[in-house]
Amino acid sequence: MKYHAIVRGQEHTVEIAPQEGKYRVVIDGKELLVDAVHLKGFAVSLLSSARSVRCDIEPGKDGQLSVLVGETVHPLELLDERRLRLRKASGKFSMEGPQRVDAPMPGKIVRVLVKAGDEVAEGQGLVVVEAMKMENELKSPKAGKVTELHAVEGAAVESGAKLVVVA
Amino acid sequence: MNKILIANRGEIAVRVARTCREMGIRTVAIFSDADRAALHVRCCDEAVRVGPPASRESYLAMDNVIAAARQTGADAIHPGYGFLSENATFARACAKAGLVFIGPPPEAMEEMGEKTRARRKAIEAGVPVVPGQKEPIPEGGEAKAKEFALGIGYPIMLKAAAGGGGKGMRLVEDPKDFDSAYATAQREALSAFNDGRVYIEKAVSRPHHIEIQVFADTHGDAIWLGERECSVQRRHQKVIEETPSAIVTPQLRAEMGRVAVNAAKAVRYVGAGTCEFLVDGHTRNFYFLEMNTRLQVEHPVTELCTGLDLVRWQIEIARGGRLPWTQEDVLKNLRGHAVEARIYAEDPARNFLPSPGTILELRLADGPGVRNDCGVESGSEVPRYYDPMIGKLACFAQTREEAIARLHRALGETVVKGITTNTSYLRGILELEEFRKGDYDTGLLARGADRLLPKAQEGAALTEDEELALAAAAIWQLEQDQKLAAPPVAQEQSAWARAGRLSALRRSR
Repeated sequence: MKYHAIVRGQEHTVEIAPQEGKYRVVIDGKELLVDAVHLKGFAVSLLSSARSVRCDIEPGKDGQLSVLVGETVHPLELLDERRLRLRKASGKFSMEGPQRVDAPMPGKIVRVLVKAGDEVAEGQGLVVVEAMKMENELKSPKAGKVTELHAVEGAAVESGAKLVVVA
Repeated sequence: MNKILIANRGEIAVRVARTCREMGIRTVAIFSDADRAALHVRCCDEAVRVGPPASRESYLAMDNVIAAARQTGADAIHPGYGFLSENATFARACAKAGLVFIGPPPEAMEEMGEKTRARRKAIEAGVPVVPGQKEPIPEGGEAKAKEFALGIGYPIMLKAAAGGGGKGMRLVEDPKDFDSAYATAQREALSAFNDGRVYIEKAVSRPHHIEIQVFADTHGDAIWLGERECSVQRRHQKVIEETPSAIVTPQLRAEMGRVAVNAAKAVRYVGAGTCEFLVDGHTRNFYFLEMNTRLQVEHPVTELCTGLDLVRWQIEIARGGRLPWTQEDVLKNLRGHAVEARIYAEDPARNFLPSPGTILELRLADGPGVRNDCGVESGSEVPRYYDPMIGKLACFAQTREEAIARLHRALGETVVKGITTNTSYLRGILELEEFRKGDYDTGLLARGADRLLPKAQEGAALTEDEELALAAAAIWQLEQDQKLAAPPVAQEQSAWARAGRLSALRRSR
């Protein structure tokens, strides 16, 4: 099986095949022979050369994975050919065009600092969300105009709810 | 005292329940609708719902809490910290309902609980205090307050009169920021303590935040149990605490202890209390800040270095018992070094954004000298309504160096999946040279902020760990893809499901 991985914005290829009870993993042409045991939950114990590590995998959405190796979390994406094509077709990660500002966590809108149609500067506060007794000010990702405003003071919001669009 | 209602949630409710169980005392938990499945509910013998998720309608709703105690026949209430723990009205309501409030008498709470009154009391007793207002800012008194602030000179601190734990507290460095800081402090104070009053204090530069644990009984005796160095703070929230403090000499300890005990005696204090001091980093002069009339979050470090169970002492004293130790006993028994780290559901990489959600898996540290006080377990929901602290990890060793190395190791063993926590940030703090040296002030985290954020890996080449991460991800993904392709019989079946299926088969025969 061949996967495409994105680590720190760089694309890598990962080929994997079972071999004599182990896995032959080829990363960008470099070969590793890895002994793997699946543990409870999303975790594997790896022996690579003599190195023994436990890797905890936390799946996110769209092929995003967080892999805990020892004490450090490595965010990465692992995509097969099909998902890579989809990702490339939709994946635009620049600040051009309208930018959505979403609720970063479930919470309550305590203040809305802008009105629809307002001109805002980059970094200007848009909405204040409270969760766990802490207030968090969400800032504009770019200079532009508030084209959509969905945040309502006092409303409860779920994580990922669309609050403001700046274009 | 046969049954205690624990008027709290999370790790402190679990911690109090543990001692009660050791003492053969039955326990009653209270819970809001957001906490029905919380760990503390299962750690108690009985549990009563006290209202909807918002604290004001549940954990802070005095009538509901007292009704829960009456309904279950509890004879005492342990308030933990936060919520109703420093509320004299609640203590009185308990007494009126014939319930023992495990804490100081309401009069002592009022004199010490409200910061401005405590300051007046301290001044009367000849205890040095930081210059500031003697009364909270009255409604419409902003203009006068601003004049006062200019008088004592910026930077100033705005503090919640009813406060503690850094809530409703703002540093104001410039007069132009006064209004917005005042509004925020009031709002936070109102939400946290149901009391929006705020007062002004001069901000002391490069201060150490050091507190003394005191204990007093109903027979008029009071002792101190050593200090806790709490200068590792982020936005006035304590993050790491240790005892002893690297800058406190035996003479200074005895002097601060004496002052703290005097302060406690001046208000006829009973039970566990903490006198907070600011210690000048250069002159080692100390100023009384406030007295917290409750058990502190960081009490485990004192327990580790004294070998005591402070909750047991609280209960014994509430029963009318005498202090089991004299001051000489304390001095003879103080030993070793303890460090505690607070584990928060927050993301340091995203400006410490709270990270509520479901904990998919939790692995706690273990081994020599390790103590976990944890309010959650695998599968727990961390609700968005309450404080983001999910637990505390404290380590004990013979020396400071060993205790720090131990905590560093134990934080590495701690794995919380499903939500983001601050464990790697905490490890980063322990690695700071200034922290290692021991003489650090409350500005430590602000100065070290850049070094504490996760460092971006340099260069395009994958590191060895990244290669292993990719290998693990690929092995895991391959497994997932094969599971999807394989017929469902291959799916793992739990023993419970199998047992259920078998009994269903038997019934159908």
